[in-house]
Amino acid sequence: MTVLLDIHNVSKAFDQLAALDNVSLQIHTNEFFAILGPSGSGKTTLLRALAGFESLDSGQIVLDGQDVADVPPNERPVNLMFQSYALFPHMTVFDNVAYGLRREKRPQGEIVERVTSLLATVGLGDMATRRTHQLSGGQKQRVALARAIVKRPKILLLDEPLSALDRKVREDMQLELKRLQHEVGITFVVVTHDQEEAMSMADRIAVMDQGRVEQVATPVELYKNPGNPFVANFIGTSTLLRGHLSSGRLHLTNGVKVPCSLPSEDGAEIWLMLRPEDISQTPAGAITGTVISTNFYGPNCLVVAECGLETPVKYLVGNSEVPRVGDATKISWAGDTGVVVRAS
Amino acid sequence: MTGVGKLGWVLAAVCFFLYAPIAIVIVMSFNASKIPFQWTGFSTRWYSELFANASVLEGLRNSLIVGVSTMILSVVLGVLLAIGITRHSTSSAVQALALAPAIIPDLALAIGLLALFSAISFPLGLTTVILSHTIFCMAFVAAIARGRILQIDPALEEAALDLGDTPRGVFFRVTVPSLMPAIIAGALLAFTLSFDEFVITFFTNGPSTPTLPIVIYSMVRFGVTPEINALASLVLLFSVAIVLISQRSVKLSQSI
Repeated sequence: MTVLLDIHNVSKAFDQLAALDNVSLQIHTNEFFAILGPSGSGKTTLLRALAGFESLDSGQIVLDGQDVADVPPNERPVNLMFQSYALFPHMTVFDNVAYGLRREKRPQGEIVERVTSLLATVGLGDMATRRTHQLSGGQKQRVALARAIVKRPKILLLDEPLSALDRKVREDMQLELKRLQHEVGITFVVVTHDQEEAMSMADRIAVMDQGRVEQVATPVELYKNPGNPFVANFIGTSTLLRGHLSSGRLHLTNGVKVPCSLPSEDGAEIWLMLRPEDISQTPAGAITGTVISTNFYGPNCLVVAECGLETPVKYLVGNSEVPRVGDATKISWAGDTGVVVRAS
Repeated sequence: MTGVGKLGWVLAAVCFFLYAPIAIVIVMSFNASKIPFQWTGFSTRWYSELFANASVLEGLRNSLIVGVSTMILSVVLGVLLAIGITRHSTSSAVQALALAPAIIPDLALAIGLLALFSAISFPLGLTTVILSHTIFCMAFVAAIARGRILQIDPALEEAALDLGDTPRGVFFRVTVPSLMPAIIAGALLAFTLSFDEFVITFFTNGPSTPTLPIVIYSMVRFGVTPEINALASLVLLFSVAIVLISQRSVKLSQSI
């Protein structure tokens, strides 16, 4: 695996407020990489810095061995698909897609061939002469995508690519983007606030918060081994219990003791992360509580119960044993389940 | 009588005082008699006399020179001004100053410009009229263009830059076409404002280059002739045509 893009100690502040705080990331050739974070986490600033629309206060962006931090956006071998798509309203679909090639002064024959074949690839073969305001949301997105990859950039940056689409179209486009990325062989870097989107498409994900990279890992690794409480809380659903370990039990800060036999040094303050599937509802359960909400999914149901553990406990039950809000409940988990997360 | 009925009378009165004079001018322009308001028969005689009147033709020529020059200058400067005050300034004082010439009373602007031209000994003529018209027409163009700029997605220009275009290329290939409806509307407005402008022209023009409104003014000082009616009807027709075209272009812009 070769490193295509090396983001090295990048910082950027707006009015003294750090948008990017010493960010370092390495993105590999042909990778589908996602930058995931809540709004205000700095992910969009990072994307705009990669495209050349934000200057850096410090640090380097090395693309294929060349530091591009001071290269203007029109000279970077990188293209950006905008969240609003930014299609040119006074041009046809064909002219939108051909825009970048015309600026490279390619021969007319080559432009026609490349644009036509790419429009066919994204499923818009018969739309070339349409104006952009005649297209549906999904079609607009395909035009924006075709326009951004027609120059065969070294990296395609995508800013919240699916946020403007209906749920159904969004699911189709997730698969479509993944297929297209394999087909065209371009490194994709997607910025999103939607973890489901990042988890389903990306090979690796960088989780950002407050201008810092919290963790970089595969989706499975992020879910199974979050590096710190923020990631544990942000990715998937979890119950996070804070306390210190002592002789096979976790002593919570409010004095309650719960089972935890995971390996960790005694006395150190840790967070125990339990996924909903780690906890079971059973009459023999040692921990009792009251159901405060239920969220029915179909095959199963997520139950949130107040059990006096500083934070409500979230667990899954089968669809035949859904409790009602206000019911008393008994739960338990094995001492070796869950993950120990340390505060970073 | 109901409230709506009373308002109906107000509406009728407003329409009467608004449109009756216009209708009278048009009807009288086709009157064969030279005596005003005494209908003796239909005739297009005044229209043919109008086109044989050398001073009217001279005035028309000067007005067209001023109108077209003002239109071009105020569109270029007005659009640039609009980009400047929306994209490169957050100061509301700058915006107010830039758009002020559109609301300053004509008389104040006219006296000020005359004083300025005299102070720098700039000879009065069509050049000074064009410059003066451009000052206030530019502000109207800027106001229209500003509204359009605020509507355009700023990502459009970034997208063009991202696709490898130069900043100059982005301006001509993306910014200007996006502003085109505002540019057309602004150009037509600038032309019509300039074409029938009187006060500022009266103050800043030289004696040898009268524009059409000035020619008309000197003609009516000796009474309203049927020839004036014919001329006024033509100017009216021309202005209405321009307003219709401009409305059409704004409608087109909204469909994009």
